[in-house]
Amino acid sequence: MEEKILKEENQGYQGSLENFLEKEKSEFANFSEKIEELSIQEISKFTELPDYVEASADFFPIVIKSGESCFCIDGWEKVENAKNAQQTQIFCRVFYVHKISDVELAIRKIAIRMVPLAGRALYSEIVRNIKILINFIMQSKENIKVYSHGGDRKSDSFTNNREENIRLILMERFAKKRSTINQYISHGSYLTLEALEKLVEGKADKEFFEKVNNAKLQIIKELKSKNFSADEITQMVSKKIIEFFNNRENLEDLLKKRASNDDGKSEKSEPVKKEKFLEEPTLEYWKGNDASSIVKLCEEEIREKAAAICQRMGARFQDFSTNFSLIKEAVIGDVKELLSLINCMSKEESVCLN
Amino acid sequence: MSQLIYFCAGLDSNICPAANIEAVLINTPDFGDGSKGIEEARKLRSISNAKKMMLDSGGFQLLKAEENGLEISCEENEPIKRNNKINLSPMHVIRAAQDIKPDIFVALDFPIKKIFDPSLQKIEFMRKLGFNITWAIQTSALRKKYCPEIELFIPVQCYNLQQFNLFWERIKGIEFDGFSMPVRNLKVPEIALFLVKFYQLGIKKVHLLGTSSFFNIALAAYSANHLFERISFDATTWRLIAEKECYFNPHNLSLVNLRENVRIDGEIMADCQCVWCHGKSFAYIKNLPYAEKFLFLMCHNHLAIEKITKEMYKNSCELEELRHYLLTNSPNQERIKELHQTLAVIEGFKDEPLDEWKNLLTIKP
Repeated sequence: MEEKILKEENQGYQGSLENFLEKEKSEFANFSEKIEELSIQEISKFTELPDYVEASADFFPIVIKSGESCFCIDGWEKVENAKNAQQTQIFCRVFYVHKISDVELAIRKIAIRMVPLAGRALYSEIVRNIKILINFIMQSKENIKVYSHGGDRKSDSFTNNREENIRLILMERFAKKRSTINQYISHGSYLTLEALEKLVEGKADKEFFEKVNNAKLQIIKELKSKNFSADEITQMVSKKIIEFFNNRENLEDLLKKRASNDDGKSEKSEPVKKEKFLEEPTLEYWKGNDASSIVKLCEEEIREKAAAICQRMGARFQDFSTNFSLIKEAVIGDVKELLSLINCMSKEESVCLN
Repeated sequence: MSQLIYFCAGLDSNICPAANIEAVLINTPDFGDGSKGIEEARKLRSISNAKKMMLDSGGFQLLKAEENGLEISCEENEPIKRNNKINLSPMHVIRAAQDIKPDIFVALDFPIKKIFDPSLQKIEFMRKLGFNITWAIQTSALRKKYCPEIELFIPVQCYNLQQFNLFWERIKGIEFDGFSMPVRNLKVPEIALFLVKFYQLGIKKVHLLGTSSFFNIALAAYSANHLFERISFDATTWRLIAEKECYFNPHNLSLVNLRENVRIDGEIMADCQCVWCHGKSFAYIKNLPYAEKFLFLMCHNHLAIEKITKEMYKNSCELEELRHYLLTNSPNQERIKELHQTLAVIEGFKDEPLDEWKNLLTIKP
């Protein structure tokens, strides 16, 4: 039996549970995790909870084993496929525990799709890491589509817009909504990596970023109004955010004080309810004409065109098949065109030519 | 030296698009009702560093109240707003002007509705005419008594020049400094006719209410250079379109949709050089979370109107110069032609009796 031991003894397989399990020394805690070839016959399907709609992304079925009991909590389709292919053995990701219960198996079946295998990162770490990652990608000339694992609908949405594609990759790879990715990026904006490092060291959480966001926006607005460069703004905002963080015990008071010192300058975060739109329009943007491409009429052309209009006007009066009200409308159009032509030359030019 | 001024409207001390705004417009119901509103107006002036402040009377709120079936009254000793009721009188506007001390204030008016059928327009005009004459005369008299140092603008609530003549006949002789005119659904040639009429009456200052249309600004800029001492306009669109996640094209104020579902061609670069956009892409703006995006867009949109206003004024000394500017910045050849022809007619005939040539603008060939 081929066997690969990943980690021995007391491996908390769901990070956030780890501390809890260690403290309580629960019988349900993992004492070992292996990639191990098991006999298909010995694996039972845990049926108390329905299977997930989408197949497991793990290469192996996930199995919880205690003594003779061996339950597959995710990836049962892989076991079925092996059976159909007349195999008798299958490699599984096996978590060894001292005791198994239906409740424990149900918790694990839910947790396997909710909690990352290596445990959770701090919010400030995610913000920092995404900032670094985006900088990496923006500096490289590589086609970033290669980082998509493909095969799902998101990969169809790639466009020729690198910034948009980065978000699609992050959405796909981190299994997050666009709004969540945008929030990470936004929370990291106008903050130096040094400042983010300090926030990580202090374990700044999402709540902190959310609390200071309005004040941060206000500072950015003030500094932009004073024409500071993006780098200067980043330095000043970072300083202020760290100041807020260092005084986080009095953060509410600090923010209130700041708002009142600003004479209520702080922006209301959501002034209107955001509308939902179903259609997917494309961006339309007019970039202006090249000034040199605009044709300017010279005096000769103006005289020539004006003479032609006058001739046309004369002809209108001689056309007895047209009634007077139609002639009136047409002549008004001619007069406007004439006046317009006359004004196609600036006074300065006109004087020179005369 | 004439002036073209953009009054930033629809702002308050919480939502203010820049730290240095040339001019702001506020209204009596929101800022003139009690000490809180007046304090808010002062705060707004200090936050925005506005050099000029205009106080609108609240006619728009009366119109909205009428449309929503709310009770309307005119009791000068009662408060302005109460539950489902709006109460406005010329004295309320005067008191607000005395307290807030704006540079300009607008007399109380009862705006006419946006109607297209001429026979219904006639009835609507007649229905409001009495209020508008009475309140213009009363506001002018009260202003002379209580705040003669503040400029007074009389609102023009008419659908056409014939109606304006009726109104003018009845208010002629009152003291005021300029007209304020709602642009509503009037086209450029129609607005132009009103402007020439004001010019021929010797009016020196005009305010166009509620517009940030590229071509209306062009008309205003030309009028500032050729017809009036000062022409101004106000706009709330910087904020309204930001709320809808839209961006003003800095070349011509056309709307650019930046909602989260818009697909952005990577070849399209954002070329606006304002402090907010410089170095940023459309994808960046589009993907900002709502609060950040709203802030970004409202600030950019305000700066875009401000930029266009300045450029338009600078480029409208001569008609050909203005045409060239418009052609450089707008793809709308038809509207450029219409505006150019309108201004060419004005340039040729502005000092001739209006009745003799107004057909050149009103009849569309």
